[in-house]
Amino acid sequence: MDNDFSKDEQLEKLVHDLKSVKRSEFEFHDNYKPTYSTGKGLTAKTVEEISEIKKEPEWMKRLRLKALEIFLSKPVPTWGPDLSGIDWDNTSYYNKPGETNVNSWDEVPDQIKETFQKLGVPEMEQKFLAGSVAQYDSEGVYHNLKKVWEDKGVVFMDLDSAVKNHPDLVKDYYCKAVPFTDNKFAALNGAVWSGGSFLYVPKGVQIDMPLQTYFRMNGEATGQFEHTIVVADEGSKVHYVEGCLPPDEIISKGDSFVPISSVRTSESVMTHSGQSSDVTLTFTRPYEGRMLTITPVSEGNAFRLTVEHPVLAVKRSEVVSGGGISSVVPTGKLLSARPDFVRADELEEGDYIVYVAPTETSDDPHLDGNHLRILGLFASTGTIKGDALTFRFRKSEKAEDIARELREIINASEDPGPIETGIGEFITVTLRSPELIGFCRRHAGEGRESAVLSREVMLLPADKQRLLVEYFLKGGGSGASPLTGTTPSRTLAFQMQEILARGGLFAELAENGGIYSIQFSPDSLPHEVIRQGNTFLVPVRRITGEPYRDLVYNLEVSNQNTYLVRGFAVHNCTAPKYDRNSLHSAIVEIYAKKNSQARYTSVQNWSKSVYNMPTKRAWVDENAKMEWVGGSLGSKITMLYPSSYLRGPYASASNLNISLAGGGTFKDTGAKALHLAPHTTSKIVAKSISIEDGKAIYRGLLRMNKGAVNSTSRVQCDALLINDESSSLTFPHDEIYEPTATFSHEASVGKIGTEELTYMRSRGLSEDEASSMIVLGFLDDVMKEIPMEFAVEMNRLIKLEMGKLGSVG
Amino acid sequence: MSELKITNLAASVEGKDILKDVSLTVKGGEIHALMGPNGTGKSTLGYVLVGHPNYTIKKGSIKLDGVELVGKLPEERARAGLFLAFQNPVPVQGVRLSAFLRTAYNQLHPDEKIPIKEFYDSMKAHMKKIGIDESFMSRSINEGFSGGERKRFEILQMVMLRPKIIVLDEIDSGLDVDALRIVAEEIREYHSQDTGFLIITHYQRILKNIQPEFVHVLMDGRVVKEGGNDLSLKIEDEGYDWIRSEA
Ligand SMILES: Nc1ncnc2c1ncn2[C@@H]1O[C@H](COP(=O)(O)OP(=O)(O)O)[C@@H](O)[C@H]1O
Ligand SMILES: [Mg+2]
Repeated sequence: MDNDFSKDEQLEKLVHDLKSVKRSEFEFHDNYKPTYSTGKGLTAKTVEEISEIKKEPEWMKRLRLKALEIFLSKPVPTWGPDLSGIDWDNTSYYNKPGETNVNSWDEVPDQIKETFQKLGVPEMEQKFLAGSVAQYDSEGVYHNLKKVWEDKGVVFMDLDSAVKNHPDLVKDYYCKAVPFTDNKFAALNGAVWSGGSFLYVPKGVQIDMPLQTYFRMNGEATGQFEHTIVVADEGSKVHYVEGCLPPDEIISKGDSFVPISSVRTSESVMTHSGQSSDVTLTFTRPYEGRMLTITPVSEGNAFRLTVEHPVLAVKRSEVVSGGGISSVVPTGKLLSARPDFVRADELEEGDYIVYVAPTETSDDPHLDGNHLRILGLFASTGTIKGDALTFRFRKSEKAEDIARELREIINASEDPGPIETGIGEFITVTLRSPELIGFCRRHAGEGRESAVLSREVMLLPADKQRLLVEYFLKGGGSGASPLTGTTPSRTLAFQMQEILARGGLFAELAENGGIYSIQFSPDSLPHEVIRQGNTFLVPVRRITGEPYRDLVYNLEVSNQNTYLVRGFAVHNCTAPKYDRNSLHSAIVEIYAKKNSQARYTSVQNWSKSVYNMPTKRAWVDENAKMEWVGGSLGSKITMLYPSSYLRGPYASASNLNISLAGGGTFKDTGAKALHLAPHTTSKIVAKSISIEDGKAIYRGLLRMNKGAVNSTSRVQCDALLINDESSSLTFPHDEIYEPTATFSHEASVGKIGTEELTYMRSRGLSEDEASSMIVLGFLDDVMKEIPMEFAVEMNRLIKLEMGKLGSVG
Repeated sequence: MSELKITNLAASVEGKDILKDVSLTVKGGEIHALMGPNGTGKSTLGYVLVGHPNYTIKKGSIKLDGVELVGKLPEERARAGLFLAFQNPVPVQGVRLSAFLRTAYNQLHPDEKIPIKEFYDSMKAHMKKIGIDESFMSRSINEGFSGGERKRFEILQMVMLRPKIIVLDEIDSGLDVDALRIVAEEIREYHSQDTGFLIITHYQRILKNIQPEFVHVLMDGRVVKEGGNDLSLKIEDEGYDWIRSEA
């Protein structure tokens, strides 16, 4: 039997991390107006117009008109959720974003670029992301292809371009798996489709990087009718990812100057107020996109963050009228300027960002004058070897004075131990008192090379800290103004800067060959740096961006929701919210040829007013493998049944779908597996969570055709009902015509009601912990398959509803 | 030393007044039995004590070591040292026993950081004693458990979570003779000067194994009779009718 501790440990951490998931909603709308819209309503004229605008070949136009006919002839389906709320006449079916499709990033309209950046969509020049197709409104506006793939014959572009550039290839696949006649929404897509991607992976080519399409809806009542075709030719392998949760996290340092990746929940970090606050949540996720480097005049404080991350700043344009970066800013205006959060990519050179000095102090009487003098010297010149601590000064008159002073201090200490003085090019003072060495270690680490000041020292009142800085400079700094201290310890450099800031001075940090210098003037601030209480407005000198593909991190901090990146205040990152009334009816066609593998992942979080009616289907040929992974949050009504047609012997399909039906939403989801050949296998796992009056229905079709000998299928439907009243339904439909075929259905229904919660809480678990454990437990067997942020978002939505349960009145 | 002090407690559920006036004190080192016919409100008292949200307290007070529990969340009461072994423990799908117990333990004893391996070793040792197969560690809470398995799991939670005041609601129901003996043994072993027990039962079976010093009889929402263990023996012989006519 397995006692899988690591699993429990993981769970423990997850529960802990999920404990206080909450996210403020950061809504954005650019004021981009479609340059052309076909207006509202749908007639043959609309369809012709769309085709003309797109300058489509005649064959596509004819197909559209045929699809329109079918659309108009088909009734609105009534066997599922109530669709009478769709306002067909008031939907605009086509909005054209720019003039023409463009190939170079420079030609992409700025407004669209901005939207991409807000979504974290990468620039195409970025070498890692050349394969990304972004979609704006109803039309693919950009396409590019990674060079290596191009060489291998991969075709990846928006479908519009593919229609023109690869008409024969497109004709082979367009609406073959999903014919217009399939359903009303597929026909609608056929008539008005725009946008979507075409991906062709030639024989034997493996694409190991997920391809991404980011999209969001923009504009009032605009339907999105994209059409995506993925062709995995024989022996190829591809993973296609579609996502609506844009990446939005950062890499950063917290106040205690530790890597953000090492910060854990319930630790404290400094916020923009100068006071520390608990970290309630940490996020980690992969990010592919633009990473900005913001360099203030103090270059050593340069920090990196993703484009959408909000930074506390004063825009230069707000305090000066015209003139740009070199214009003189009236100090009076700056003194009274109120910083606000600005997206990182809205920052410009010359804007002011906010350095924050912590305000908490706490005196420690043990840290007296002599101790601080020693510590200052130790941090700048001290080293510990074995049981000896050695201070080393380059010979000079001043150095001799300091060495003398140091010897006096040591002599005066209770247990001086032997002192040695070396002569030569350097003056060295060595002491062996275990007490003093222990003291130095405790408060400044191992000395010069890796000095880190203790919390006690960092909290001391300003006058004491000044003394420390004075001796730090005496040990290894330059005496002329501006004063300069140097250290190879990055942490110490930031700590010194913080200490000086506490005392009202702003030091500029710089790094050169691993040595940090801290430079400041004891009686003035650097040019253009303005002090406002415990904060300093510091001008941005430079902003650069570069492609990035790695993990990014973010913190959620209680009360303030801000933290400091290398001393500078940023907000915790927030995700955009989708908020438009819309009809979404996409088509996804996948062709997995002989021996190929295709995986399609789609995680969607639609606004609660969206009707989401996609048709997704795969043709799976001999020995090919198809995997569907889908997550569906939000939307008013979703009807989604990804289908796999197992057409060749030994073809297999697996289908994982997770739906969350929140209050007021209806999820009619499921899967279809059609076994049309011998030895085919299918596996369907459907998980649904219903909250409040949310309805989750599983609707499945399993067909075993005559001749599908020895085919097998396994269907598992799990439902979790959150509250005491809700219910879920399953409608499996089996058509079995082959006697040798085997299949199984498993269904489970769990509920979280007052009884379950009370039971767990009576053992000391908070409501949050209890619900997180239940939800994570419910998703446990599929956790590996789904993106982390999806689980987090799911948990968050559930928790909002859980608040209504089980609370003691 | 711990003390649970219930004074003039009245409570209702679904608008029905069930508890009318209950006063009862359980101190560390003591074992009390709460007896009474079916439907008199014994389980209700248990739910009210742990703060079940469906039960409304009309008046009275519940103090644990002098701290008022009325108005506190169930988890706060648990953290104060109160434990209820439920009459009908509910299944919780997907939540593994091991992870659940550990999370609970960390909540109840935040200052004790036991490495996960050590915790599970101790859990296994207790499971062995109580007669729960090790494989239950990775099963979901109470899911597919027999009545007896559920009761054993309640006892496992008690010994692992180390509460101060323990209310056992019909802990003997569903247990066969051997299981009853094991459970009684665990209770006796866990009982100490620091732990106080309130054993709720409608018949005397378990009280043969665990001799209570105090017996309270609940009828129609009130404590109508109190005495020593001999009272429970008399109820065994004669039922509750004589108390009813006395009252
Ligand atoms: N949730 C509830 N809703 C309605 N009536 C309840 C509820 N819980 C308990 N009762 C009623 O309260 C009374 C006492 O029940 P209970 O405390 O379970 O009795 P006992 O444990 O003494 O057998 C019974 O009449 C029972 O039907
Ligand atoms: Mg009962």
